[in-house]
Amino acid sequence: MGTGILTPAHLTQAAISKIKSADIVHALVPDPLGLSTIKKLNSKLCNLAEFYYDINSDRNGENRLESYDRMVEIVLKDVFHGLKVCCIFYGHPGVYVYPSHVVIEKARKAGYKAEMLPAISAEDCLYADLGIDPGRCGSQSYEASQYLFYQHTTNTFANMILWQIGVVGDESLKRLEPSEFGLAMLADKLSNFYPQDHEVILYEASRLPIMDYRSDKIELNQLVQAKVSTITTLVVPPLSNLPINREFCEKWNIDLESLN
Amino acid sequence: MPIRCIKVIGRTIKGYIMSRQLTDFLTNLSTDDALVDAFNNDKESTMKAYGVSDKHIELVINKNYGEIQSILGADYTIANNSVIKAFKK
Repeated sequence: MGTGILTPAHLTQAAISKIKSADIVHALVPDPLGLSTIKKLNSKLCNLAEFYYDINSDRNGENRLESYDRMVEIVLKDVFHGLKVCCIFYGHPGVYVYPSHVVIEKARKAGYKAEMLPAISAEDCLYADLGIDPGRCGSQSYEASQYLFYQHTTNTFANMILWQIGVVGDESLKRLEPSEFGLAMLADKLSNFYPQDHEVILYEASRLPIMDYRSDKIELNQLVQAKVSTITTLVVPPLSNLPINREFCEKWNIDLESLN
Repeated sequence: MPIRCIKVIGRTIKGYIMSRQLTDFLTNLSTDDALVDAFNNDKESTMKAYGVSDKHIELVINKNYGEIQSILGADYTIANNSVIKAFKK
């Protein structure tokens, strides 16, 4: 399950119930209010942050992926010992979280019952904070490095949300900051579709109830110099209004007046 | 030497209790709307009544979020939990 972004405010009743009733809780939660809340609900807490990739040593593997796999092993060990295990992640447990999906898949393959509960993700906060309705003109959402290195299409009529720009361009999964040319590569790729002065938004959800969310509007040509952290997301608003697919609509006799 | 140790331990415990007060206050602030109203009305008095230390009150009022996160023990370097190629084959 997930803590949501602001805990305990975002913690669901279902998640609270599961945390309370677990034999052991494994948590990968950077938010101290989240960890403190979980501890109050169940004192048998294993902090998976101790197994997160350590850039200064190889104690937790050679990159982030290896450390995630180690976390999977640690959680499954308790599952295979017959314990009722609750595994809790920051935000939504299934959104941009590798180990949660793997744990569930492996536990089910081994014959254990495993389920994922939904939670509030950073994307949910983004829609609320920035007043974006994905139903208005559509929304495309990509992991930033994946957007660079794979052949994703770019739809300039819809919003584009690029996640993990704090580690953009790093294919080694070792860095906890953008690669040397990460932001430059991102600006380069986006400039194939958007003008240099296109306004983009650097977004960070609020992590404390006393804190505002970040919504810094910059021009695309300022992206390379932008200050980003591990929780920064880039929002690229649409370039123009959504055009009607006239050929298709006429073929199916759709009333074009109702679409304007 | 033993006196120095006691001083260090004493300071650590005091620091722990102080940060716990701040953690409890912020935790309740995220779910208690009456507390939010009181806080918005008079930040300093509301935090004082909650037992938040003067040092931490100053940090909150000055919006020194970096220092507050550090005191609370936040580590957002571990916020990235996904990979580029999401799943190994």
